[in-house]
Amino acid sequence: MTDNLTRIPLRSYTDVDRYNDEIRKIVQGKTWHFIGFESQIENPGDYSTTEIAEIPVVVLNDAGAIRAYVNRCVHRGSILCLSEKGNINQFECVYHGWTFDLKGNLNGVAFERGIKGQGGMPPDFNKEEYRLRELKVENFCGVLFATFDFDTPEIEKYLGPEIAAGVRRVLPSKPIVIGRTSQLIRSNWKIYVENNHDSYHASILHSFFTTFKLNRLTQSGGIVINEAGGSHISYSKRKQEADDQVYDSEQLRANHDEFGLKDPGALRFIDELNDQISLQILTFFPLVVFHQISNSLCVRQVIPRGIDRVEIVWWYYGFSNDSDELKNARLQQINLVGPAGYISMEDGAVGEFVQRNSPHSEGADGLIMMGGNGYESSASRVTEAAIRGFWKQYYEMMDA
Amino acid sequence: MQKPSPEALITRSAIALDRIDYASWLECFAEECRYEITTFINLANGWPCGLLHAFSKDQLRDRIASIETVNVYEPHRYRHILSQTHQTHTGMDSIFVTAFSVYRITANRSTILFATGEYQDRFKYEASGLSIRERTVVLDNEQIDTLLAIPL
Repeated sequence: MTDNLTRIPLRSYTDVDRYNDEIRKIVQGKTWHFIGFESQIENPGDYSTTEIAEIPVVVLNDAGAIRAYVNRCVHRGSILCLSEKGNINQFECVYHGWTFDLKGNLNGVAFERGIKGQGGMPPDFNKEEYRLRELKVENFCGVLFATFDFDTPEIEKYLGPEIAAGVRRVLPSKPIVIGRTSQLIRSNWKIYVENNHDSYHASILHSFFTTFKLNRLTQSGGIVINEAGGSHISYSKRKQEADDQVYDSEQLRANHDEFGLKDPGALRFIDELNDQISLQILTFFPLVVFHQISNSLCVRQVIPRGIDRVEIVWWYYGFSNDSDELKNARLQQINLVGPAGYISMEDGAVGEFVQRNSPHSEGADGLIMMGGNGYESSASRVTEAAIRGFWKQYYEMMDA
Repeated sequence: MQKPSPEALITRSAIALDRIDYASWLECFAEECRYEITTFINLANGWPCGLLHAFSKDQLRDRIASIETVNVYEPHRYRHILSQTHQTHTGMDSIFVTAFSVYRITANRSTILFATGEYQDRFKYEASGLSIRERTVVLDNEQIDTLLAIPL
């Protein structure tokens, strides 16, 4: 533990023991994880499979009730549902044919009584003692979340009122998936998550943003951090012309006056949520990010894959009542986001740069001093307060 | 411009990217063109949003200008290995399908197999020559290593 949130040892990104602790204490602790969309499992028996960290999970519609289980047979640990989606009336393991009902109860063991009195399970074997490991599920505005700990408070309370309102803001009706892509970043998962808490870098690293005056730190906006520290919102409203002078005087690399778009179709913003906010990055501790970048709406599912790999699954969504104009805007704005996005591709690169420099870095810290040493909300985005908030909640869970 | 065959134009476009000769790559496309990168999973699910969607040659020019002057990434280049081209049906609207593997070469890093998939191309035929009118790049796997800056 540290009571100093302004210095984070770089070895935090390379310590394997710490990684295993994170999966046990944080991922399988009192935290919520994205597991899919309600619209993917509309019919009774529909299921979809996903992962939380590297733990396989199956999400199921059990006659209208949404359930989630670790996708692992209690017999030998093999995968129960192999496909990414499907429809079942019971779980059946391909390895030895053990079956489970949709409530997770073991109800069939092949050759349980043996054959002709030979072999079979011991007489005291009781199927009722075995069931799939179930997760607690919450359907939040059509997005499904799960937690390994049944004592985790409900999402509204977990996030706090302001962050929960920020999630509801980008989910005004039931979301439907309109595309998906995935990005493998060769860095520790925390470097990617910190990057999403880092409002300081956005208009510096992502030159495209500033070149086209899409997002400048002088735009009106702010940072909202929840009480727990690890979830936050960074948002900005549409640009006001008066802001330009401050930036131009800073002579940032991000300003390329000679560069203009020949076809700016990707830059058109439709104020669909009627509040002038054109950018909202919301982190949902520990492994979920909701982004609104103009009209691109997305859930970024962060999947740690070992100490120095993290996969980001970008789930783009829209709504069934989207106009053609809005559908077109969401499609055009794909060019801004994701692994090939003008304003997000750099995040894949910088995470690797930090990771590459982290081994054998005893004594070297990352400095998180912008905006003081606390993690309070502010109107300024020239702050690293939200990164400190992440570490505050992180250390609290790791030290518990 | 000589009158190349569709196969020759497909090969030319790949070699242009491998040589970081973006001007020659752009020349392969018609002025009114569409270029998209998506995945088999997106197409199978009917999901329209992939990785990159350009609806005009100007948007392709913007892409090249942005990766050359604005975006930040470790310098790298590609090596395309192409299959023979398969024409799905004949006539003006026929689609030419070419499978590819693309390796990514980064200085002081290992060369990696970056992407496999297929081009689905439609051409524009004019007296002056042939150009790509629509190219859909369909990736076999949705996972992109690090980032995709240079088009495929």
